[in-house]
Amino acid sequence: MTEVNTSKNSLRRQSGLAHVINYGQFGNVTLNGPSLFICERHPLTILQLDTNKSKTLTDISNLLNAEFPHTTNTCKGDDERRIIWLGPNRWLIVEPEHGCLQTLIKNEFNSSEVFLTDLSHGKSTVRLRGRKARDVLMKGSGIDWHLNSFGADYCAHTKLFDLAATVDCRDIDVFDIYIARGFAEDFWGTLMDAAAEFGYQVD
Amino acid sequence: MLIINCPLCGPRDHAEFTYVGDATKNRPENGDSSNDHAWYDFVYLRDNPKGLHEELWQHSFGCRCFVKVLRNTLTHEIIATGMPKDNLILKEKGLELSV
Amino acid sequence: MFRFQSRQQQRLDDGGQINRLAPINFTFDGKKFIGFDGDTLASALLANGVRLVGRSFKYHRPRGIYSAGIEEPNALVALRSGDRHEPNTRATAIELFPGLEAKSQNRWPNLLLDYLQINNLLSPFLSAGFYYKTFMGLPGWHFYEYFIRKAAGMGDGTKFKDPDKYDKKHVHCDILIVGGGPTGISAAVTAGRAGARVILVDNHPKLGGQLNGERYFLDKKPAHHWVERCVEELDGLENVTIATRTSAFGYYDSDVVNAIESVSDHLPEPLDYQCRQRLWQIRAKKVILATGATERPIVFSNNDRPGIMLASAARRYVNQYAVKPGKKAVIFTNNDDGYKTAFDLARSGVEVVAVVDSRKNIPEHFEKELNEKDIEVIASSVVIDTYGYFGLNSVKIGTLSHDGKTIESNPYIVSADLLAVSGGWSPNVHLYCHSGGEPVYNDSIEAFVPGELSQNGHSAGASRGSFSLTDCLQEGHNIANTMAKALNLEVAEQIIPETNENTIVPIEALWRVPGKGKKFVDLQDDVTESDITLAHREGYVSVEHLKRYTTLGMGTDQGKTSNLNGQAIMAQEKSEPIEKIGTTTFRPPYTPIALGPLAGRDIGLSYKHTRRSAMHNWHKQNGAIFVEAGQWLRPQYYLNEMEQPSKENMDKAISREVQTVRTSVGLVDVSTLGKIDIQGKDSAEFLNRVYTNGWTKLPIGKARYGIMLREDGLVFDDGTTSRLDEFHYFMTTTTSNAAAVLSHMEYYLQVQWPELDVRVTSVTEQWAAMALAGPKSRNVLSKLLPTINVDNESFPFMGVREVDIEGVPARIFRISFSGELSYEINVPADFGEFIWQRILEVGKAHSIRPYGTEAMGIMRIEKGHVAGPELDGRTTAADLGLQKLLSTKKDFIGSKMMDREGLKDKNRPRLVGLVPVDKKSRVKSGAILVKDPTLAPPVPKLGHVSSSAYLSPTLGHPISLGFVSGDIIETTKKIWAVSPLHNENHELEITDPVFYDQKSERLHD
Ligand SMILES: [Zn+2]
Repeated sequence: MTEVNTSKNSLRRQSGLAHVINYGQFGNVTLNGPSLFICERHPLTILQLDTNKSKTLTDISNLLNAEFPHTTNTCKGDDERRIIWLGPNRWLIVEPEHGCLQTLIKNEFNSSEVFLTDLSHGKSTVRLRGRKARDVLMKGSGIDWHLNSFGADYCAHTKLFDLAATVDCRDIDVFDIYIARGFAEDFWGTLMDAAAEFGYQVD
Repeated sequence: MLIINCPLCGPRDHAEFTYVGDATKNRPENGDSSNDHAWYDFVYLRDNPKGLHEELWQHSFGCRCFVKVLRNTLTHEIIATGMPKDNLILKEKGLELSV
Repeated sequence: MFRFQSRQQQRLDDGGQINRLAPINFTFDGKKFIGFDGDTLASALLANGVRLVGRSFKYHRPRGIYSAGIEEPNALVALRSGDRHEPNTRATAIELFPGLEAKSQNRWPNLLLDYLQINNLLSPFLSAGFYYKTFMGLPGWHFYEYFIRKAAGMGDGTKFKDPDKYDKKHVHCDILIVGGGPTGISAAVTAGRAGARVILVDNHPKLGGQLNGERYFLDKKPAHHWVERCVEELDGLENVTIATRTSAFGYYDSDVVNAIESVSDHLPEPLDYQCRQRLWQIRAKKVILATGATERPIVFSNNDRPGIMLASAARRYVNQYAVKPGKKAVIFTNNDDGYKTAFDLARSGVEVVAVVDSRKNIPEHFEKELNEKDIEVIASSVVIDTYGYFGLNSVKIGTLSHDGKTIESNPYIVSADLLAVSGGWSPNVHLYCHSGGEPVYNDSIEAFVPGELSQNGHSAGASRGSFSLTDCLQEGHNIANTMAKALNLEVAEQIIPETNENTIVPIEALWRVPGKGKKFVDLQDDVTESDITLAHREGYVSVEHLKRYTTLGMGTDQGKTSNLNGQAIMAQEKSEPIEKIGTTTFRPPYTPIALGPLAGRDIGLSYKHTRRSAMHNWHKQNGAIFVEAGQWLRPQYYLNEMEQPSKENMDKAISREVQTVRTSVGLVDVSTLGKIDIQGKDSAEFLNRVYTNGWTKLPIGKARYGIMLREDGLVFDDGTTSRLDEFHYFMTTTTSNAAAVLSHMEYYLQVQWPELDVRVTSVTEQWAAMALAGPKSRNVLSKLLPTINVDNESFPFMGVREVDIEGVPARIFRISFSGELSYEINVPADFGEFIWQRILEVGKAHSIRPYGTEAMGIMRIEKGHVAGPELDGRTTAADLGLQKLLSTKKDFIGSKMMDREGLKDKNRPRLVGLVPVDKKSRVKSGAILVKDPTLAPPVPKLGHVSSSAYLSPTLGHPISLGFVSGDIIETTKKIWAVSPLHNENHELEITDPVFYDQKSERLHD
């Protein structure tokens, strides 16, 4: 498949939230400033990788110079690239859109060893940051969001505000939330409503 | 509210799962007319047991795995969960014996 | 300040937990009053000498304030006005706030002059079951019902939209403690010190529970010192959360307890960004139920007058609110509670006329204080009757015979405006019952207590029948320690403070007093003793029948003060012990709750989430009228700039769109179709098993149409699947079955055939999809793809190409739903709007037009394509005319069961075209097909109409698809469609289901 030539196209990639986001401070912002910072992460490369061959996985790991998480509900990576455990033998690789990640792997590996599915456009990503971030998540999902149960590099695939969502805890109070693009507008509205009592800033 | 312990994701609300059905039914081989009754049983016959029951749920909002659930239909208590190939009733009985 | 005081004639000069420096204005029935911060509406009304606050449910008898808590059966008022108006709130549980507006209920025109009190005079006729016995079955029930419902009822709801927000919160903890009284606080301190994650919920504004209503001393200091010290310690513990004004209303499976936090109910209105209430879903490892106990009354004649209240309520009014609930009090008791009440009232300056104790022996340790305060005790005696229409003015006292059935000696009357009654205490076992537990009767306290444990919720303190304060404190500590141990935590120490309470002398059961007047068992539902004896006589003797026959305990208070008395009276009538009679099952909610917090933010448009395609914004700005398709919003049709929404303009727009596609070229958003990425070396084998037709020979770069069956042999879904690479396929499903098909395939891959090497992933959202359809579509496509040959040979029907459109990677499928030459173009969603616009620009030369679901639907009906209404889960492939897709060379899902006799029946209804004989009638889909509409029922059903195109611009008249029994198709050409619901009958001609281009030349062109 032809991969997107980034330099030419990134300007035209239009996020599912393009017509929805208002920037600024909203809700119950006190003199201490907002308790929450919300932004969209876009454009991203989001690639699902599926392989049950451990040798292949090691090779891919070496190729990408990145570690794959093998424990359920965990992530690995850095500011640039995240690898999220998705299910048995399944991971989600997320990075800012720049290279041709899919081509890179495809060129090296046989299509019967590793299965790649590009989901870059299928998901909308929202970053929730601040001391009240966990309180917002608590409104939407029955998972235990306590720091001791869901710390940095934990992830969860759960029902968040009644939507299927993946939540990646990037840092103690930084969360990346992935939801289906078609629900992005609705999700954004719900999130803003849930955050209003804490006062939030959209960057 | 039930909390189901997904063997992969851990305890989650039942709202994250989709109920699939009775997990005690095995799909027969297509075969000739000699297994007609087996098919009839697989497609249509369901017991409604009072007490322990093996059910299949899908963790559709989570890891998407199918999960076997041993549930007490009388108390709603979930006694054990496992992967589709696990025989939870046997496991549970084994546990009881060893205790 | 003195000015305020002067208006509150029943307020004490000092004491209580109110802030006399913070007066609060409020109104009751339009009259202005002043209370203090810390008051409830009930305490403020009593402080102002207001005794009459409502009329009873059935007999419209004057009623006052009966309790000081959530158990209140009488003092139900309507709170606030306009869109925040709320009926049936309990005055005893409403915190006073500035400007509070309350109105009495169930009276007309006003409290003093209530015309409906005629029910009271008619009361000899209004016994249990009266309305049903009298009116039901009569022809005029519907007529009577209106008036009966008006006369017997609760407050009116508001018809305005609720202006407030409601929130939800999911929390987890090791130990949840329900109830912040002495037991709960003691437990929280121990659990908190042990390091457990603790949540302590209490429905009051501050912790303390019963301690707030009593004059207890702990370690020789008033109890509130201990409470404050504990709260301070708990506040300092990071692992402890205290949630006040939070009422746990239900204990569910898996130790989930739901509670509602009243965030701003105590304020005139919510602050900015503040919700009114918040639902807490608490998932606990262990639960301590420290829910306390509720005092119950004694049943005697006219025991419902304003001025009669529970003894503990009288104490709470003087102790917590510094309000004298009366000037002259009589106390009627069968346990020690009456003495506590007498002392507290006397200490506050209320004249205590007498303590009437049904027991023979007066507890010795009370004698000293009784003498000091000069309080007379009348032992072995009871209150027989009361007097005073709008409020109590005197009480009749007599001696009870040994068997309790008659009054001995000469009864006498004493004047009193307050009668405090204690019939003993019933543990609040509600949450324990919700958790699956069954309470058992305990003789020593004459009440039901928790029995065996069902889940992990342990009762402690008064809620398990331990009524001494020392026991409560100790049990709270012990249970918390046991739980901490079970959770592998360090066990914590706590020194239990010393109390000043007396030893408790056992209660002696007294449920009812002989007498003639109306003896209320359930004050809220106006259920009297005679209703219960009537139920017994008529055979409604089980507690569940008793409840339904008399409505005992069916009010909003769920019989908190009445259930046990009712059950005990039934037991006496049956001459059986109470434990044999049993108790009714308590179900959530423990107290009445609003629906708002249950709905949370899932209201209005958020009721279910809306899904939008990548081109949604373009549609919105270009005249699209949207229609809901499952969760998706799809353009139904597009209006011109000049057109206003109307039925005619809709018809015009739809015709315009169909004609454009049939004659030139149109573009439709089909992003909603389910899309599934299939990879792995067994993909073809898997498709072979999932679809009914063969898939092994599909070449790369080609698409194929297929249908799937369920195991029972009926059609499940249809769609096209394309082969992109050797082991890579791309499946489309119908919009509505997208999720179901994915789960269906995952089920077979994970559970039935785990040996197959296949991966499936939903890519519905990854791809924006649009169909470019019409005879000129190739011209538009060739302009979009100047470097690619798109002629019929290079890009044939069912061909698939992966191309680059102006730098955007695209998959193009030459498939058709409309019956025209058509290309389905998929691009990554973020490029959807861009490519959509580019196609419309390029297509301008051919007058291209976007079209909606309506035009799309008409064209597929013209072409005889089946869709959702035909794939309704009841049709076989043959019914749909798709039997040629059933392979005989392989097994597939459904192949075993599809050949059953009933599914092969030649006379099964099968797909036909239907045309109204008058060529203009619009036949509703769902209409039933019959031979003759004039036949008398039962009329044999010959089929039904599944899809209707009200106009077919191509054919010039309406058309429909439907199903008609095979034998009818052979013999008849005409049939009638009837829709009795719409009173419509139309004669139809049966035709071939394909109305347009029967040889399919156009799409192969
Ligand atoms: Zn899971």
